[in-house]
Amino acid sequence: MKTFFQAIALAASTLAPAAHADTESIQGTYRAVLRHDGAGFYQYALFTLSTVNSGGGVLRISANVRMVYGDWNSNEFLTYDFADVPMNILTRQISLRDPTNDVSFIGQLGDGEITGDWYSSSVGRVGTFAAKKDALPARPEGQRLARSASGHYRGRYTNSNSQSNLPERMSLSLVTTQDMSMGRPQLVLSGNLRMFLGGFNSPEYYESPLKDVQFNFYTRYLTVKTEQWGLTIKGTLSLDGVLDGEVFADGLGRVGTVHLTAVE
Amino acid sequence: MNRTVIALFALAACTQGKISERELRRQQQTDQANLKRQELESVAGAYRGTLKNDSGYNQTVLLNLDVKDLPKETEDSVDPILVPKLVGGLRFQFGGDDSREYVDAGIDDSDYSPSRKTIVLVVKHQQFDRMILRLEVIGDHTLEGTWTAATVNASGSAHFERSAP
Repeated sequence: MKTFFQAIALAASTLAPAAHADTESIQGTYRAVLRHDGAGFYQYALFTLSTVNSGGGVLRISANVRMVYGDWNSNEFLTYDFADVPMNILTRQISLRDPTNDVSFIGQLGDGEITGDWYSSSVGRVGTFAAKKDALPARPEGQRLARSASGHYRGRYTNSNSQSNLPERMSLSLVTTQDMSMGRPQLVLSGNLRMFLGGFNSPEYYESPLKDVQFNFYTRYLTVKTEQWGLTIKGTLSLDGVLDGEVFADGLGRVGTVHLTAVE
Repeated sequence: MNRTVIALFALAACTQGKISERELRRQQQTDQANLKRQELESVAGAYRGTLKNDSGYNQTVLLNLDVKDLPKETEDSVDPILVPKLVGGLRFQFGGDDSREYVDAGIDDSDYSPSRKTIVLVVKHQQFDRMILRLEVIGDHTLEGTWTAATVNASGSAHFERSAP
């Protein structure tokens, strides 16, 4: 009996302590969902964190954030670099901010997940975000994926100025590209406006390239100017791809309204 | 004159066999230091554990405790005495043990009470200024307790197991 308990004690003493799970590595790619609170939609983003141990037990974190417009396969995205990302090792607070970027992210990192609030320099606090290393965070209920601005829109122009006689049928094509000429990424929109004398399939139309296209992704406010004819269209491009706006002509002022719907 | 010289020699001969009070005190301090060193060496070593904060995050940490003799000035001694003290560092480890993702913080001050079996460590780092670890020594392998960092308003629990040599 004594030998039996001695054997138990010996076995117990050789048992290793309970396995201890390692803290998740910081570096890696995190897939994120960014919510636009108050606007009713969300968008995807990719956070890539890199770490460097610069010696002396100092860990430097840098990040690259790719904000996607449309679904994950969309080729419309903006990238932002954050050279120095401070993270407090006790509170786990992490801050992605850079004066050259117009978005910033403040949150907490832990267990392969980053959660917090994100901000735009143009509108302030935009909403909350969640980024996960191994999985996509849950999509917010009741909200829709932000549609990219690129597309082809068709619809009706309604004249309200007796001195203007623009055709009733209009189509607007928008293409987004990324411009790095300023040293930091800028989403650039270009395209053309077509006014049909007949139906939308008619070969009888006037077409002008667009210049100075401005689109505020957060408010969805779009302004386009034609190179020819001195026309300006201003309005809101909704999440569903509907543009409701006003049309202005140089020298005449407001000439009418436009209602265009995305067809592709 | 001859009597004076003889008296002086006699006095010198008498005092050769006695230990001075200063030497006696020094011997006592040395004995106390040796005892303290033994007590500290019982808890010195390498530990692996977790700091859990109040938000629920678990942080893997490696604690290294060493015994070092540090000079201490005393009023009644010309020479400083050597006092053993726990020194070392805390490593916040991310990823596996082979990962180079880690942050090191040094132990700025320490106190060990063998009667209460408690260790208090003051850890310093620029991110949180001071973090105080209060640990209870449980058996030969375990340290368990709490941590607080007032400057960042953070606190939580701590658990360490002695690492295999």
